[in-house]
Amino acid sequence: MTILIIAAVIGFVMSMAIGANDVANSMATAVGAKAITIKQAVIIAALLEFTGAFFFGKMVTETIRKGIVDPSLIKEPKIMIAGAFAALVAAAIWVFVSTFFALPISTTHSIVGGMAGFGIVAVGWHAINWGKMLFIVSSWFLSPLLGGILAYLVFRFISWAILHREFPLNAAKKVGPFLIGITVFIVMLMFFSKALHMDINSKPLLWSSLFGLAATAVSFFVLKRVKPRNDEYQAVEGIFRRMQVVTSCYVSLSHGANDVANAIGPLAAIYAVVTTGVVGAQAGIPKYLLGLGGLGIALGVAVLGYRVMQTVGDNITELNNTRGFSIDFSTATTVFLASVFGLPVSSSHTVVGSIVGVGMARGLEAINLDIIKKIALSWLLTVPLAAGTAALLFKLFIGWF
Amino acid sequence: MKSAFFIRMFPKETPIQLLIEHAAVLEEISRLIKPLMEAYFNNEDIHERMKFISKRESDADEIKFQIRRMLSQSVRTPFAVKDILDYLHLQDSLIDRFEDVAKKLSLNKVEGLDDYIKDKVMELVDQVIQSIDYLEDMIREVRKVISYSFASKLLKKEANNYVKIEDIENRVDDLSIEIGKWIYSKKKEINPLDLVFFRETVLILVHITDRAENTAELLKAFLK
Repeated sequence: MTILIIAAVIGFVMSMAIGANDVANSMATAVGAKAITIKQAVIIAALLEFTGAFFFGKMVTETIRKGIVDPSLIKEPKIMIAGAFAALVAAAIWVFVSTFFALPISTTHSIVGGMAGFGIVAVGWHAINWGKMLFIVSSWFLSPLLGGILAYLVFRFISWAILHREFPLNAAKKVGPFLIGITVFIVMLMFFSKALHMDINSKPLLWSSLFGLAATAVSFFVLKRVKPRNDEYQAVEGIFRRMQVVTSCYVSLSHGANDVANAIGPLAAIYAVVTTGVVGAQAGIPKYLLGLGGLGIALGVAVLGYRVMQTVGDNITELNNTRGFSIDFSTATTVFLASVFGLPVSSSHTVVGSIVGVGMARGLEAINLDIIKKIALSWLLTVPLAAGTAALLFKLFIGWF
Repeated sequence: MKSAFFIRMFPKETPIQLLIEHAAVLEEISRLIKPLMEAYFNNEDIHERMKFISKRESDADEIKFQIRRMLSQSVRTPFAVKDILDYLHLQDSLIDRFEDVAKKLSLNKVEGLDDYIKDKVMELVDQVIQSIDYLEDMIREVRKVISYSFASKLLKKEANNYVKIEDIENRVDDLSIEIGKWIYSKKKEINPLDLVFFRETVLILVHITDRAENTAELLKAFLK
């Protein structure tokens, strides 16, 4: 039981670090585009990160818990406990290293590497579910790519349907509500599927469509009241400023859903062994563990998020809301889809992909592509380093248990 | 903090913003040429004015180096790096040409210039300043063009500014012919060396408008 409490404390601290570190992923573009104030960003992020983690975080947590290392191959409970504990501590170390040196190291990659590292040392190479690992690793390449393609298409669509029109404001009043409707449709579909555990069939589709249509109708009437200004394009950006509040919420929700697993996945593995006394038992993840992770992320956002957002807000080029919307929408959709498939993807890397996508669509005044090289390097380094650290820690911890 | 990557990805200063700052220096220098020319015609000392123009030219060089550094550090804009560097080269050469005018005028005093030719030269200077104003407007609008995703309305505005510079270039050609005729009509009255000096100075001003047109043309081409 003591080990469960210690693991819960480490998991909680780690989820706080995730919240503090990653709040920029969901809110930087909105703050940079002056869609919301820093205070609003912190409040919204804290609430929705918790919601995402609590309601939608189960699938990815399951993947971390038993998708990487095959639990049926681990005979002794203490091996699983020591291993999951080592993976958790190794990932925590890398979160702090990335925080200290400002490196774009992904927590997701660290935890996946950590779990794999202990599995290889404890049981052998055959303990790793290589098919699943391949799926996870390919998602790390696919998620920035998908985010990029989606962002490119969304921004191209906004350019074509609104900015290139003779009367852009009128066009924005017509197209904007549909974009909001689509966002609400996706979120509701995920809610029915993941939070209420309904199969995606006609019923959730119908309800999601109804919510999407309602959101379209409400935003249609809200946007109808937007008055023209001297500069029609500024008025369009004004509309997207409001819409970006919705997509920022969407990013926070999807981030909570995906990243809670990085702190809670190993904890869930330890919990399952401690409560059942065996490895590989069919034990579900209790809601309060996801709640603990969600609370940690929210607290991290609330305590340290302000400073992070202030640094971001003061130091980046002011972004247009149309760009911010495209980046947020694409990042959130990609990360959300990954969560549905139980794929732990890096939200930081996905947001980079989306930014590059908008850049490719000639949407940004300047982007520094230097970060892409650093991300590629982090892909090559993080997994082996986290795996190595977890393997070493496992050897150390196994003697204690 | 991972937030650091946002800060690195969206640099606070952008190459376009720096190009606009560079153009602002160009516009400032172009406006300094008029009082300098008036002072020259009034037989006043222009040394301090010339020194100030040289100082601003050095400031513009600093901005130029900053832009080059940025582009070599993987900072990308919606335009090809080569296009930006070519544009920067042309814009910078305009500043150099203004500095050349100031330095040249500080070398020699031409005797025998009548009011007619002084007025013509001042008219030429006004046209040159006007062409630089339009060019500066064009580069200033580039941020808006990017913001509004290269909307045709804004591209038309840019094209209109280019046409205005073209018109100025035509007027400057006419003026240069009138000034040329005056210069050759004075071949027996004014020291030939002075006339050559005066002609060269006028030609630099004429070339500035030519180059402003070329610079605007390049800008218009890569905005498409």
